This record gives sequence, C-alpha cells and structure tokens, in this order.
Amino acid sequence: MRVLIVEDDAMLADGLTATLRHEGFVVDSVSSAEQAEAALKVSDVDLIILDIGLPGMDGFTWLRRLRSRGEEQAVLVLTARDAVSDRVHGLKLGADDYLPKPFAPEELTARVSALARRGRAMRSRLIEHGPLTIDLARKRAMISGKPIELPQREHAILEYLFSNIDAIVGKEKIASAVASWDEHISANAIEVHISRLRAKLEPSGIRIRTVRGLGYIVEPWSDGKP
Amino acid sequence: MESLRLRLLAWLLVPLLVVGATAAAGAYMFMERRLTSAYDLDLGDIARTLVPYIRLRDGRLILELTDVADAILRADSTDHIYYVVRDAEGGVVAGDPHLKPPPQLPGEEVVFWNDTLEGRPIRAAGLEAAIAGRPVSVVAAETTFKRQHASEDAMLSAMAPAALLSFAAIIAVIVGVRRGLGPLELLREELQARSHVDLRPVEEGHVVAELKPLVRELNLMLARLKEAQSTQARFIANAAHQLRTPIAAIVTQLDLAYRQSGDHGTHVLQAREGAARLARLAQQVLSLAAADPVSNPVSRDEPCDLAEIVKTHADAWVRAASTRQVDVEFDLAPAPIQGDPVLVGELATNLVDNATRYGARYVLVGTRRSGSRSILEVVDDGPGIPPSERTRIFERFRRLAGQTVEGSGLGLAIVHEIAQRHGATVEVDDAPSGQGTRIRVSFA
Repeated sequence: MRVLIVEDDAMLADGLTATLRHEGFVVDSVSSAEQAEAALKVSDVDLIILDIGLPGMDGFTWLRRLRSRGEEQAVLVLTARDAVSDRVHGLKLGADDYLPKPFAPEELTARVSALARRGRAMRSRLIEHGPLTIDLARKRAMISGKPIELPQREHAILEYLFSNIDAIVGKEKIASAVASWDEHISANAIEVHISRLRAKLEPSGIRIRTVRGLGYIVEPWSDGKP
Repeated sequence: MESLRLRLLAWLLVPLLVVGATAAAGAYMFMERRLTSAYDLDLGDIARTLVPYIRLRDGRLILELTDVADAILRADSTDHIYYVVRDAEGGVVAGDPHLKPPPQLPGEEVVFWNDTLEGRPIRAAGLEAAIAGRPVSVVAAETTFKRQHASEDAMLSAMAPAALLSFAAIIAVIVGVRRGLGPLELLREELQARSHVDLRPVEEGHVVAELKPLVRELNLMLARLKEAQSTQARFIANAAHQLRTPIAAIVTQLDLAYRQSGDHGTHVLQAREGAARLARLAQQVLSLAAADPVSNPVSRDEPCDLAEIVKTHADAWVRAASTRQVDVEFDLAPAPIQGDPVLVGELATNLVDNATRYGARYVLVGTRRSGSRSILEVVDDGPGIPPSERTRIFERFRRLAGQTVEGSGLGLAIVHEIAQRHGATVEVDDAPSGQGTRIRVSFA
C-alpha cells in the first residue's frame, strides 16, 4: 500500500510519514501540489493524504484536476480551515474522507487503514477484520481460514455490517439493504439474525455492539482483546 | 440630573403662570375700580340731594327733611347710610354727629375717602355748598358690605377663568412635552431592545429632524465599533486556525516519541496529553467563533430535524465514548427545527462530550416534539451538578470546583452560544433517576 502525503508543514509531514511507516505503509512525502503531480508520474500511489492550505495550487484545485482526469486514488483531505463548508466542498470534489486539524494520530491511522481496507476490498473483493474474512465474490465468510456456515440472509447482513465498519447501521437500513423489493423484514427478525451472527463471531473476539435506539456498530478490531 | 423634560416644563410653565396671574390681577383691579366708581356715584348723589334741603331760617341753618324723605334717603338693602351737615365752624346742623368731616376741604366737586365709624369701615362722600351766602359741608357715608361682596365677586370672576385657563394650559404643556419627547423615547426603546451583538445602524427614516444628527453620529460610532469587533473576531479565528497545523505536528511527533521512549515514556505521555488538550482548546475556540454572530455573521437558517442531526454525529460519539468506557444510547423521535444544522450538531456534540467526560457510565440522547417545541435532551448518570452551579456552568472557562478531569471549560459555553443564536433555552436538572444530570435544550 503506497501513500503519498501532500503537506507543506515539514514537522507534520515528517511525523505523519513516520507514523504511517510504523503501521506498515510505504510512504512518500511532498510539500506542494506541483511536486505531488510529479510524484504520481513516477510511482503508483494508492492513497493520497492531501492538505488543503498548500503554497501555490491549493489542495481543492488539485483534487478537482485529479478527479477530472479520472484518477481513482483514495484521497483523505486534511484541513486547518473550519470544518463544515470545507468538508462538504471536499467530498463534492471527490475526496473519500476528511479530517480536520488538529487530529489524534490514532484517528488518522484508523482513517487511512479504513480507506486502505476499502480499496483492497474493492480490488480483491475481500473484507478483512481481524481473523474474519468475507469473500464478496463467492458469498463466503471465514474465521482464521475456516469457513463458517451462514444462511444467505445472515451472510448479507454480515457483508452490510462489515462494509460500513465505522458507522452505526440502523435496523431499517439493514432491512432495506438485504431484502428484495417484495419482502418485508421486521425489526425483530433483524435482531434474531444479529444475535445468531454474534454467537458465531464472538468466540473469536469480533464484537457487534448494540447502540440502543439507533442500531449496531462493529467494534474496532484490536489484537489486545481476547 | 439635567432633564430635558424638566427644562422644557420650567421654561413653559413659569412664564405661563406669571402671565395667568398678571391677567387675573389686572382684570380684578379693573373691575374693582369700575364698581367703586359706580357705588361712589350713588353715594355722591345722596350728598348732593341733601343740599337743596338746607335752609336759613331765623339766622340759623337747618335741614328741612321729612321723616319719609329721610327714610327714602337712607333706604338700602345691605348697607347703613349716614349723613351729616355742618356749618363753617364745624357745628353739626343735622344728621349723625359721629361722622367725621372730610380730611381735606372739599370744593364744589364731591370728594370720596375711606374712613371708619364705630369700628366699621365706611366709604364717605363730601362736598361744600353755600346756603344764602353761608358755607356748609355735607358728608354722606355708607358701610361697605355691598362693596365688599361686589369686590369678592369681582375677584372670583377674574380669578376663575384665569385659573381654569392656567390649569388647562399646564395640562396641555405637560402632555405636549411628553408627546414632543416621544421620538426620543422610541429611539431609547429601539436601542434598549437590541442585544449586545446587534450593531446594525439605527433606521434614520422615521427619526424626527432634530434627532437625525444624533442618530447619524450614533450610526457612525456603531459602524466603527462593528469594524473593530469583527477585526478582533477575525483575528481570534485566524489565530486559532494558524494554531491547528503546528498542534497537529506536535501531537504526531510526541506520539512517535512516546512509542520509541520505552521506559522513560511518562513525561512524553504527559506532554502528548497536554498537546491533545491544546488541540481540543483550539478546536473549541474555533467552534465558539463559529457560533458567534460577530465572527460568523452568515449562518444557515433552514428546516432540519434534531433526530437527523443526532444520527449524523452518533457514530463519532459512540466511538469517542467507548474509549472512555461510556455507553451511549438513543431515543430519537422526529423534532423539526429551523436553524443551522452544522451549529446545532456542534451544540449536541459538546453536550454529549461533556456528559461522557466527567465520570458517567451511561448517557442517553433523546429528541422529541413537545407541544410547539422541539427538545434535545442529554441525560447522564455522572456525579451531577450542584444547583448553585447550574446557571454558571455556561460561562466561558467555568469549571466545577473539585473537578480533576481535564476540560477546556468551553464546551457548555459553546452550547449556550449556539442555543442563544437559535432562540433556544437550556435547562439543567437532576437526571430523572436522581443520579446524574439532565440537560434539556428546547427549540421554539
């Protein structure tokens, strides 16, 4: 996984580079959009961490050019400008995620890992979460390489939950995502499916948490957990 | 204290009262003179009437007056009439001997004077005549009852209209002054109704001509104030922006240093926590700037729903709360409001952050419609807020006594500012269970 950091603050760029290398990414760092353009020509970049307030061409302008050329690298936008209008603007221009400065380094690595995972899943048609692997193409799931038996609907729910790993997903959303147009799945039925999924996943330390009143969220995987 | 109203009243009322009093006094004196001369004419006639009845008989002067004539002469409904005829030596020829002679020698013409008789005031008329070559003086007098009555009537008829007129004028002046100063009062009310951030110029169109220069100066001053204020607000916002990148760099570098520090990590860890607090503080100063109408005059005002706003932030809240081992639950019913969804989201985020930060294990976020209001409620089972602190926790940099958890003291100030900007009220209560706090934001 190759990451390109486009950030003009040397100390921050250096810190980000070291942090991401520590996480196992291959990282290059440049300090302007013009240099980033040159870097893209010589190496195959999967993910760009892009600061908006750059000297010369600003991050938004370069992002627009990138997308208008049809380039498909994942882009995580960093900005020191105030959040929301920038966020909307950035996502509209084709950024995949957005992080306002200052941020906690673990938040940044989590976002980068999520984008990387998504990119991998897009290419390999595989979702990985700890020991769990979901094969999107073959509609199969494995824990530590061993297949687990899931009815079709439970597999669909599993896919949906783990495709939206950082989000709370509501029962209605699950229902509308996994049901075909002529069926109706009740909230109770979803609860039953979830509790069966839990029974199969929890022995290996993968947790699906209930957020009462809203839905479910997959707890982040951490090796420290049993 | 100098009062424009008192000044106006003094300048109008004092001359008015002087003129009224002078007019009344003048009218009274004029009427009094006319009355006196009319009564004097009658009195003089009595004196003159006596003259033809004085005769010389046997070398002596006598008054030849029948009892009937005497009675007619003295006839008067209210006053006593007296007369006396004296010869040149002052001997009484006829009449009332108590009546004194005239103070000065009268001539052919009748003279009048005031006198007293038996302790009572009288008016007297005197004249001289010659009867068969011998001079005589005739004095007629009357008590002054009818003159006094007439004088009192004159006084009343002079005073009453003047008094009424003055009274009416005073009322008119007082009402007029109040009315006349009305535009000032209106201007005062308009300025009083403003909040401290409303620095719009005062509408000049409906201001009376005399106040226009004042209002113009006021508007110029408001404009200067607004300029100064927004310069300051921009400075704070810019400064906070500029802080973001270096803070992010410091946090990142300290994080790396901590990983490499092995056993000597506690100092680096503390530095890293300090940097994280600095980061949060800068973020909150920016939120506060965004909530402040001066530094962020344009905010969206659109129909949105509290439940939807909560849902968009729920993921982040749940993630942040789980690092503090706090459970967040939701009870969301539609609660439509009119406002800026971004700012309201910031409000809710700060409420939840505050609830999860200070020792609660469980936080419930609720939205619902109640009557004509939309409610956002955050309930926690933390240590609670003593009633004496409940109004003060919304002040900037206010932190509860004995609080050991690091906080900026800005979170609830942000809540307060955003609520105020949306015309929403914020109430702090005990949680329904008795343990913890319930904060309720109620949007109109």
